[in-house]
Amino acid sequence: MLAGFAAQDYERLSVVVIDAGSMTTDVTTRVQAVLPNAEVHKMLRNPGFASAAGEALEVANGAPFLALCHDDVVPRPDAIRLLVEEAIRSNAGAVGPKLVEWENPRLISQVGLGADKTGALAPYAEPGELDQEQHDAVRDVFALPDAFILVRTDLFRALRGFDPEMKYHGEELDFCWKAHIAGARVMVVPEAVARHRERIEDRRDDSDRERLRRRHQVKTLASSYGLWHTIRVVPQALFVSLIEILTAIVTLQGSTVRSIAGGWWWTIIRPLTILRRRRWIRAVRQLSDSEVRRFQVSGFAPLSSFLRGHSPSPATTEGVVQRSRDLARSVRSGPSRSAIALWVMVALVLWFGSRHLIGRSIPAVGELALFPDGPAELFQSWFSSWRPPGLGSDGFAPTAQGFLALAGVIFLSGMSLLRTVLILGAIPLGAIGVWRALRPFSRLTRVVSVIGYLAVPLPYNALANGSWSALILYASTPWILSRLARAAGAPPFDRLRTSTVLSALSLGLVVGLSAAFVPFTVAIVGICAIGILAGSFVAVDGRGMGRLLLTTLTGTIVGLALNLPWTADFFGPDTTWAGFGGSRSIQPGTLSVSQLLRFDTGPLDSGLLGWGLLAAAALPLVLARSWRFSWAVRGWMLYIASVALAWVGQQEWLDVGLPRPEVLLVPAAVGLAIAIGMGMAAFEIDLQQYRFGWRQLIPWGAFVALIFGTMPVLAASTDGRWDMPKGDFNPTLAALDAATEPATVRTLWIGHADVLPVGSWVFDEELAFSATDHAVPDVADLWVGNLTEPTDQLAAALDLLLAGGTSRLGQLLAPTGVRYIIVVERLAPAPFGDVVEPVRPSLLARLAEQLDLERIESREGMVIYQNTAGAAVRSELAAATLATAETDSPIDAFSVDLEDSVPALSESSGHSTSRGPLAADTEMYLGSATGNWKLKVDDSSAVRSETFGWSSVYTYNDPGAAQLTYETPLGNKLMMGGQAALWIIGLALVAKLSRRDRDRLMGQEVS
Amino acid sequence: MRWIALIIIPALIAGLFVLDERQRDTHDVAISDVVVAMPISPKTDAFGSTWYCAAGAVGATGADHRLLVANPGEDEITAQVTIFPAIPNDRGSSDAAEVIEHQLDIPALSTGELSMFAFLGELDSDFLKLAEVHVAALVEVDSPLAVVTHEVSNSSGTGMGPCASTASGSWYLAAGTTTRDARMVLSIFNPFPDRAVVDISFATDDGLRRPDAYVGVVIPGRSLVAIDTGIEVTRRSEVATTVEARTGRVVVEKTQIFTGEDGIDGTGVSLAAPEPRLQWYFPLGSGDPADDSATFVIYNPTDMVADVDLDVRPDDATTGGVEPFQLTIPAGQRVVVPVNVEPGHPVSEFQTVDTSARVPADASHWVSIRSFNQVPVVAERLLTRNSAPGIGAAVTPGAPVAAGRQLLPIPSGDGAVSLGILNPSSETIGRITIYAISDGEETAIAEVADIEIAPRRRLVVDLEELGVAAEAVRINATIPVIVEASGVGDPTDRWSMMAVPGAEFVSEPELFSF
Repeated sequence: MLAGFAAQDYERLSVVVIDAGSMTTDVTTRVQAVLPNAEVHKMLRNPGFASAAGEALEVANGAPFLALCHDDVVPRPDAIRLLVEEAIRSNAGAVGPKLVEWENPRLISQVGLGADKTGALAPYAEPGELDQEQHDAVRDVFALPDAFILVRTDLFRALRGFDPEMKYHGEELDFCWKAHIAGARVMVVPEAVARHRERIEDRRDDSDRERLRRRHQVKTLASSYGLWHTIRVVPQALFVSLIEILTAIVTLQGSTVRSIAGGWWWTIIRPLTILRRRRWIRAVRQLSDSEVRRFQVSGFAPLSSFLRGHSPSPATTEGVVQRSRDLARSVRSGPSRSAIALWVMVALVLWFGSRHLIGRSIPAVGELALFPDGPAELFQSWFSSWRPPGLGSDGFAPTAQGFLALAGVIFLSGMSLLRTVLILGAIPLGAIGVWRALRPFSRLTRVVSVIGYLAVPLPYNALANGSWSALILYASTPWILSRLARAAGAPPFDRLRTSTVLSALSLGLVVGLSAAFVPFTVAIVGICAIGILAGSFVAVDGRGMGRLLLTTLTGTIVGLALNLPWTADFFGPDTTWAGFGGSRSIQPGTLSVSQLLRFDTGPLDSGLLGWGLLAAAALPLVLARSWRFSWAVRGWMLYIASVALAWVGQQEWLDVGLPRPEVLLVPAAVGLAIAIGMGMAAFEIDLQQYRFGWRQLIPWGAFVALIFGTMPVLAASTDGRWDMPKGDFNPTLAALDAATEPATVRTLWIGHADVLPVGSWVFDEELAFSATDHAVPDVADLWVGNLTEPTDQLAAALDLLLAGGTSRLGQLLAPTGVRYIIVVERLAPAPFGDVVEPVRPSLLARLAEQLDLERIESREGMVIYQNTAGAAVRSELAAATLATAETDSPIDAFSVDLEDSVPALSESSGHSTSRGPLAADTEMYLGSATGNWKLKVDDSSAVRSETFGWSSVYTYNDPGAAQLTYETPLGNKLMMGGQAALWIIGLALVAKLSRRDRDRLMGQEVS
Repeated sequence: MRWIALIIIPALIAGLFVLDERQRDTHDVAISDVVVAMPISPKTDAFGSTWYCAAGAVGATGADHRLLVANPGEDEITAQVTIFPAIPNDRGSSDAAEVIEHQLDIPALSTGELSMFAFLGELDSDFLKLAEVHVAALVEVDSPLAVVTHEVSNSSGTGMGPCASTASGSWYLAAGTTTRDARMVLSIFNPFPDRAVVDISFATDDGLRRPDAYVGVVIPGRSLVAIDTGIEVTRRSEVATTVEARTGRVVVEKTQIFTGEDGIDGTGVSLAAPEPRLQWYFPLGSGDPADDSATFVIYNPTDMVADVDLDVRPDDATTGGVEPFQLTIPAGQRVVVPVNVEPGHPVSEFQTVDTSARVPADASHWVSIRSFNQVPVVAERLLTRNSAPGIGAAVTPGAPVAAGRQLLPIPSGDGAVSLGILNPSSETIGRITIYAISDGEETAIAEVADIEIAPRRRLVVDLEELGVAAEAVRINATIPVIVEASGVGDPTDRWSMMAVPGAEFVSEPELFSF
């Protein structure tokens, strides 16, 4: 490098070498051995290139130009002369040479840099591009790499050199942008050539390159524009960053996500620095932003690069070239391009199909309930042992509430956004799961499988039918299958086979996470295992099936264990099926085998086109060989097992109602996707082994069939909401909540479980029921747990009603606090949605004939009655109304008049505390089925006695401020803490074992 | 081994298709609610029973509305009676007055009575200064076994009938007379908190009539509205009525009063039918034309033509069968079938079938009405007599269901009570036992203990002849039967009503084929 400067033909060249804190002592000797007149300026530490370059100003001694140069650049002998001549000729502020590769100067490294309006760099030349003088025109550019740049000294001084805060990566863009603003021309002079070694990583740990680049880009962006352009451009940049983040999430590039988000964060927390820079730039501004923008490239460089197949972040300095070249090479190859095209297409179709759901809101129908305003309530609900569903009970909350609380914290209490992500995100997450599950297969195989998985109508019908369970399983089942396949190690998964412990743990984590929301996940794991086993049997390929069974068993146990103590409810003596299988069960004889095979379970009816997916999946059965054939058969058997189970569920042969068809058919969707993918694998590998004949025609037929199979989903995407209803009942229900004191009354829900917006218990084969302590349901109401004896009174009351046994249902229900009785007959109010489940006419007739129920007007699809018999969960009564009355059983409600009771303690604080004043000569009634509520009146404990055989009445001597608190037993608190610890240990173990396993696999590959 | 998969996979899918086709047939049975179109007492595990007695009036003319609460149980029961007065206005309707509550205790195995004339007179004598105050009653009994009937009396006579055990959104009355000598009062009772809005229409000789005054009639919550239809409906011998609620549910009952100006002098009370049915039964039919004149009115409230057969079955097998009368009833119209009528009995000249040629004048009989084209109808019978004893009129809706256990309160002082017990089965022999309930005791009547009734036959029991003076009778049968009672009221009016079945014993009779 020194020799290169020694050979320069520019006569008035003075060389200053900045020794940026080198540990060697012979720098001066080495420099002066080559350049006797060179000055060596020693710095005690390395402040980074930007600051070091600033040192040049100190020693410039009146030189009109400064040529700033890295120590791994060798300019040709005429380079500096040519740059100076052009700078003078064009009156340029900064000029730069064409940088070529060190080893092979015929390949271009960089020839000036473009940048878009957000500051994202866009090189003019493809890194590694063959130099055919195609870039040899002198031209204005937006920025120059600081590997070698010649600047006017006065300009460099006026612009205060490089920003010292930008030690590496990004300082050149910042400087050149400022130069443009100051009215200076920035030009590239390709005739001047310099070789660039680009080995910065040899001298410093350059792993933070991307982080620094992003950080500096945002800082430059935030400070370089005037106010108007800042308002316009910064949101656009933010949007592009979000897309990049999503892309990085999809492609599992966690470091990129951190870099992008960190860049914004780093800038946001420096408002004063940005303001000072903006003020200073305003002072030096000569050109308007519009004029500066003329030098920028149009559009968004990251998106353009991505669509062209480039790296979205071509850095300008060392090390990037090789990476870029690798990427460019891989992009050129078909499979990679198809993978990128796939994900772009998937993102576009899913966005297009969900655009109204994203842009507006997802209606709260079925299981798609609203989330609370913040995570605190969910956390309290998870940690407390008070379970409000029904008439309340002591018990453990589902783990899902803890996860949702945690996610709410991560989303900074953006619960609405979290809800959207958790509902709509299930579809891409499932697709990614398929992509990851088929890692040992070719990219094209994975592409086709993902298309097949996304083309089944199941998730879209699940959305339209309000089945969050199905969506969660759609997301998690491919990941479960991935773990099972890797555990079994059947070819080609033998290369990825994990240890038994790791398999069990990682499967357990996935199962545990999914089962936290949908306990039936445990059964789905079993279906997957059975399907694969059956497939192996039919394919006569039983390799790894023993390990598969072992992992299924152990993984399921781990999954259940991670959800303790909640899952203990599934094994108790009072267990009800609805707690495990859910009350939304498959209806007898509603779907034909044909509909089940085509996943036509909702408004998205694929019709004849739906057979296209099956036709495409049939291809490998004819063509595939070896493990392609085995996996195709396994996919088919998984598909058949799942469809058969859904069909059996409709036959009323079982004592319990299996979940909705969307839930049962999820493994079928995965199986079909695998079989479709194996068709591509067979096309790639097996077809060429056959002689020319009829087999060559089959892939084309399968291809056409697959295209047809995707049509229904593409068509369904046009409405922008996947046939979801355009409204929900919440406005009506909110009015009910507004009319009562918060949480002092209950709502009794009756209807078919499929249309109820809350979790429910089965009443009979047509009806389900539930009770909530508010009218607008939220997500916590989805998990009702086992049916307790007190809550069973509601069923008894309903039974009595239907039998015509009472005309005073309101009075019977008054002690339960049921103020509203809501009969739901539609998933969404008319005219929205197609899911209609009318209740038997006699139910409505009986309700209409109750002498103490008053009907409230509501939208079609929901019949609402208000109980006029004075129902409240917490009410204040005249002293001795209940405490001394003979109220031993629920039936005694008929002998007590609660009409004059007044709702009490209406000031709720969190999940399990309420406050309010209590008057003299009163007692307080609490319609909650537990004795763990403690009442204190002016710090004196009230005396509790049981009434009606399940609820409480509190007596006290003096009036005063009262507080009612649910006291979670210490043992329960410890168990919830233990559960959290179990998850942390599980995650840590899996991370550790995964690392060890990865090292082992890499070792195997190397050997 | 490819062939194994190529056989098994398609075979499994084909198997699913085959199984599905077989199973699908079994799912086609629709589950429907059995709606009973007549009053019934609830199941025995109910917490109580509720009865709605809509028609009736009290007033200065001596009109009374009496409630009869029969308690067949062995414990004392309590009936909470809520009385809903309505004062007639000059628009032919009425205005609701404040409700009054009263508790009635009924000892075990006996019948309790409440005369609203006496009760309201004691409570507020101003009530009795008015010529007529309509009063409906809501009776909540703390026993599911109890049955509530009511007796409506005025200067023209006495009518009896069971109170309604259910409300409905639609009600149909097949018979009705608005001639010069007759008043037809519709009592529309809304005991529920929500208001109801009803439309009333009439099928007359002139076709369907929907008077403006009867469109969108508001029945406020917990109130009674009584409508004297003569104000708006032109004078007709036969008028069929439909009351349809736009919102809410109500109870509709008719009081038919003949003033005697044209011969007939009597009062009948008849609960409307909440829905049309395919089949109706009338077990009691007199064989003496001098005794009773009967007119059957069959009303088709649907929008399709009904093909209906009316079958008159004489008791005497030697009489020979009577060929059924095949009736075609246009949509929204009614057909009148007089059987053995005497002069003075109101008979429409329109859509009337002459039966005199086929039905022997002296054949005692029972009657069934059956629709053969699945278009349901409503049937009612007007019974009149213009000579003593038992002068007067009775209006009785048919019985659409049978039951194995039924209860019938008998008004005090009514001695000449006949029971008609019909076995509607085409094959099964039924055995019945009748119990008399009186003064805290229940005893089987020896003469009618374990008596056999042949299929499609009836048994007529004259309680007076048997010397039975009961407050109520209970009829137990080994198969579902249909029970009708008739008698002479106080002062001498004819009455007729169906017994009240228990819900657990109710069943739909097999459809009659001729």
